[in-house]
Amino acid sequence: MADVTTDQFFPSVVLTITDATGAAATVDGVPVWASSDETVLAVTAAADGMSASVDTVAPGTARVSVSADADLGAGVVSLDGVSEDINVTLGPSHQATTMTLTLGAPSAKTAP
Amino acid sequence: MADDPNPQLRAELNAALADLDPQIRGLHDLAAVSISADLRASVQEQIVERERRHNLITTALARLDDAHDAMNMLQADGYPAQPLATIVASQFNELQEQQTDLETAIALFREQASRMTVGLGEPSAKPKPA
Repeated sequence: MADVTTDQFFPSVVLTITDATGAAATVDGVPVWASSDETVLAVTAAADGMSASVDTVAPGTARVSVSADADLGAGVVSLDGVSEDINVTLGPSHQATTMTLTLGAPSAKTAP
Repeated sequence: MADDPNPQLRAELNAALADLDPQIRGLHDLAAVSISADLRASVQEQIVERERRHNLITTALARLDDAHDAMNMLQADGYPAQPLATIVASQFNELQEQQTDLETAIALFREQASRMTVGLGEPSAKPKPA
């Protein structure tokens, strides 16, 4: 599990695609990225789909997933990848630092 | 001449046969004397069981003989050596051309991707709003 705060983001999330032997492989088309919970993580993929920037939105736990077509021909063989859990907690800049008491205008007491 | 593939097992099976032979002969003799029908049935049952065991052991020994014969034929064939074959130059050239074609065809294929890994990298501080 990766722990981050809402003051942080992952600027360069990288996708690695391999075959069964571990050698680099390619997929058909551009891999599609997604967040399992967009209220927690926001994903912005690069044009080639091989990397992304993942921004934190609010506290919670979510994952980044990627799907692609492993079949380079006419067929479709779905291939999915998913990140580890990302646990987002509230960052210091989003935490309360000041409490202000506003007295308002004074009023005359009612006569006993 | 090849060695017996399993002399220990052969000796064990032969010893078992040697034990069974007098048992079967004796049971047949017992079945021939004047005994009750129930006892005769019990004796007959033992004859059937022991003759079945005898037949199975004989079959196993025959298979050991077959294995021995097969090993002899293998050795006569030159086993375990298996020398490379020599062919005339024209045939060898034809083979090499086929190999080239096959390699060219194989190079047209790639193994399909089977795993995608998402590497998060290190988190960074968000840029402060202007």
